[in-house]
Amino acid sequence: MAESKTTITVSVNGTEHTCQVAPRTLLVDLIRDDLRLTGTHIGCEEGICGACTVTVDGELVKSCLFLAVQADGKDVTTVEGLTPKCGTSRLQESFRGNFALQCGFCTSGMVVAADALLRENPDPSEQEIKEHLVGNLCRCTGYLSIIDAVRAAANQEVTS
Amino acid sequence: MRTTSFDYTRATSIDEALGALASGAQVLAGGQSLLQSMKLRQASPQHLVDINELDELRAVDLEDGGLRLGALTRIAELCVIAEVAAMFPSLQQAAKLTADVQVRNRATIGGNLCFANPRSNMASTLISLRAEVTVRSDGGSRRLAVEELFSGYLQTVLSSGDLLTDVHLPDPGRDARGAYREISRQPNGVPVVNVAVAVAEGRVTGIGVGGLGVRPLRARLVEEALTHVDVNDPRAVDEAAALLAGDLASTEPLSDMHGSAEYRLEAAVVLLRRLVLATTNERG
Ligand SMILES: Cc1cc2nc3c(=O)[nH]c(=O)nc-3n(C[C@H](O)[C@H](O)[C@H](O)COP(=O)(O)OP(=O)(O)OC[C@H]3O[C@@H](n4cnc5c(N)ncnc54)[C@H](O)[C@@H]3O)c2cc1C
Ligand code: FES
Ligand code: FES
Repeated sequence: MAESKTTITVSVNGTEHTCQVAPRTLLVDLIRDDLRLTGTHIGCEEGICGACTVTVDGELVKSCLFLAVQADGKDVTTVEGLTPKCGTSRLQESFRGNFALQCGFCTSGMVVAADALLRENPDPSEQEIKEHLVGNLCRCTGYLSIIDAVRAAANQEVTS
Repeated sequence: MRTTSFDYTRATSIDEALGALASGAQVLAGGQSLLQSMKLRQASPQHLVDINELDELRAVDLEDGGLRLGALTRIAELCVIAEVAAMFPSLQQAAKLTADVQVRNRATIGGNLCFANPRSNMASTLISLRAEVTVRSDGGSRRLAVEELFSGYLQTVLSSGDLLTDVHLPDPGRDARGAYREISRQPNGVPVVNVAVAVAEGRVTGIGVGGLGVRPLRARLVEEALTHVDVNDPRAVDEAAALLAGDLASTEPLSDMHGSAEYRLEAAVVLLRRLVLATTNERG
C-alpha cells in the first residue's frame, strides 16, 4: 500500500529543505536517509542511548523519538551544523585532544548534548556535566575522558 | 524498528483535537512513551492527533492558593518553574529525577500520567499533593483526582475520546513541605519504587507510592495512622509505615524483572519512613 505523504519545510543546519515524508518517518531517518547527514547516529532506536541527539528550535531531543512531520517549520541542528566549514570546533578538538572517543559511535550525540550544555552553562561542574550527559551512553565506556573533554572546552571558553 | 503506518493531524485548537479523538484518533503528546510502544508494536494507532502546538494546554496559573498546570507542561519546565519550586518542591524533585535532558524536553506532565506507568515519577508525587485533572471530551468536561485516574497496569479510566487538559495542584497549606525519593537501577532511570510525601504544619497531608502495585496508589491507611501518632517518634512512624502492606491490598502487587513484590514493599516502607521523618522534622 502506498503511504500518503505530507510536504514539510524544515531548516537543517541553516538550510531550508522541502521534503515529502510519511507520518511514521522518524526525524532521524529524514536526517540520515533523505538529507544524507549521517553524523547523527542510530544506536538503540528506543530513546535510551542518545546517539541520535539533535536540537529542534534549540532544544535537545532524541531524533528517534520525534516524527519528521513534527519538525515542519522548525530549525534542526545536527552535529554537522556545529562543525566549522574548515576543521573542527573547540569542543570537538577537545574531544580529540582528551581521547574522548574510541569507536566514536556515541560521539556525535555527546558533542551535540555537550555543546548545548556549554551554551547554557559556560562553566559546568563535573557533577553538572554528568547529569547533563546521563541520556548519552558510551558503549566503549570512556566517560571519564568525555567529562574531561567537556571541562577542558569549558575552561578554554572561560579563559579565552 | 518502525511503527505501523498511521494518519497524522497537527491540531490547531482543542476543539479540533477533540473532534479527531471522537473519531478514533489517539493523542500524541511528547511521544517519549507512545512512539516507543508503537515501534515495539505494543500500540498501533491508525490516527495520531498531535497536541504539541496547542498553547492553551501550556498554562501555568495560580489558582485558589494552588497551581494549574496545562497538560502539555514539559517535565523540563517543571524543573525550573519558580512556583513549582516554591510551592511544590517534591514535584520539582520528581521532575529532576525523570529521565534525561532530551526526554524531559519533550515528555509532558499529561503524557506521563496518561501512559499510566505504575513506576512514574509524576503519578505518586501528584497523588501525594492531592492533585486533580480536568478531562475534556466532545461531550463536556469532568474533573477527577489523580489517584482515580489509573485502572490497571498502563491503563487509565479515560475513554478514547478524552483529552486530559489540566492538572490542578491544590493549596499546599501552611509551612508546606514535601519530598520525593526513589530507588532506581540507574541514574534517572524509571524507578523500581518511589514515594512522595506532602506535609503541612508538621502533619502529613498525603502519601503517594509508585512501583508497588500495578497502578500508583495513595497510602490512605498510613496517612490515617500518622494523624494519630507523634511524627517525631521513629518507632511510631515505623509502625505506621508498615501499614503500607494494607494499602497495597487495594490493588494487585507489581512483581517483575526490576524487583519482586516482597522487595518492593520492603523498599517502599523504608523510603516512606525516611521521608516522613525527614519532612516532618526539618521545621523552622
Ligand atoms: C529514556 C527514557 C527514560 C525515562 N525515564 C522516566 C523516569 O525516570 N520516570 C518517569 O516517570 N518516566 C520516565 N520516562 C517516561 C517519560 O516521562 C514519558 O515521556 C512520559 O511517561 C510520557 O509522556 P509524553 O508526553 O511523552 O506522552 P506520549 O508518549 O505522547 O503519550 C503517552 C500516552 O498518553 C496519551 N496521552 C498523552 N497526553 C495525553 C493527554 N493530554 N490526554 C489524553 N491522553 C494523552 C497518549 O495517547 C499515549 O497513550 C522515560 C522515558 C524514556 C524514553
Ligand atoms: S537511537 Fe535515539 S536514543 Fe538511541
Ligand atoms: S566511543 Fe564507542 S560508544 Fe562511545
